Amino acid sequence: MKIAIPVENNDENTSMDNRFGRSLYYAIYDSDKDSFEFLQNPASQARGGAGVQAVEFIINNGAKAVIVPQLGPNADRALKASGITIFQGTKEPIKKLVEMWKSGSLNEL
Amino acid sequence: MFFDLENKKVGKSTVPIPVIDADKCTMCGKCSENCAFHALGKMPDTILVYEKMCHGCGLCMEICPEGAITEKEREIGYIYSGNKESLLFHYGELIVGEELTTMVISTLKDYADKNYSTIIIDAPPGSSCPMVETVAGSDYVIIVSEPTPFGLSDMKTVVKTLRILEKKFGVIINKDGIGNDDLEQYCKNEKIPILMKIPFDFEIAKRYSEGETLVISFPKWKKQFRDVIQKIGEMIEHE
Repeated sequence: MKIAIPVENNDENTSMDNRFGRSLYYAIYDSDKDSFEFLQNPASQARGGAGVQAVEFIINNGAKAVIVPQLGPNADRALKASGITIFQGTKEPIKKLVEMWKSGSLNEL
Repeated sequence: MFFDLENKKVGKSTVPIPVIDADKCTMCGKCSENCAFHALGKMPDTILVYEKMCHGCGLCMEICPEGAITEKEREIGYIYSGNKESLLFHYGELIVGEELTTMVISTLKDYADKNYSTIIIDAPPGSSCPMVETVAGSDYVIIVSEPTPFGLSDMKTVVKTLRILEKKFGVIINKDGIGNDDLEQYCKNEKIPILMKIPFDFEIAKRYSEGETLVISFPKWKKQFRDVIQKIGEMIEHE
């Protein structure tokens, strides 16, 4: 299963970005391979509607769950309609967030 | 507020937004892909419409291969009107939380009575979309600026915009005397006519703060404004 996390940098030591739609990258963690892939967020500089575009982008890249910071109303609605599982994250290193997800200690929204 | 009018609500401003017929929609995603305002979001089994982000351009309805999109009107503002003697006045109001100023301005302009020889449309400050929408269709644009570095800097962007729009324009300098003469020098160099100068004056400011217009407080200004209107009329006819 693939899980998307908005992040500041494209390396494994990065932390979750506190902006969901406008983060520079998304880290896609693949639990089958236990590895990260980093994708540039095409909507990070969008004039409007970044959250909605971000959700479309994440879905198109196969994510079935997301770990997110505080969400804006547009992104919140899109994510809920998308049917993918949403976990509440905090501004922590992504490796730690993935460990928390594995141990079931992240809250589902 | 300066004219002491009783204004009544006479109309509303609406924006056409898409309604998607889920039975006809095949989830091809063309609408969402091509929406310039990202007002549509393609989710795995539904298309979301973000009504407040839609600018009402109608493209989605046009390009939907299934004809699954129709439009409905969404209210975003109101038009008010009042009159006094020969003055007919209209103003537009955006509903709190709405952003599409240009739509209300566009609706407002439909209310302008073409039988009047002079129609003055007051634009919001700046050079962004609301200003562009306001001046579209006008014969002449009056820039009101202040002779300060700040006023000049803003005016330059307005001038640049008006030149792209190929508009005729001139400048009224307000609060003349507070800053420096850079703005006037700029107008000279750029061959922009200065139509009038209103001095930075305590008495004018005082009467203004009491809700009176310049012409009512100081009748000598009446002629000056008349002259400006006449001058503009001549400039328009000359072309």
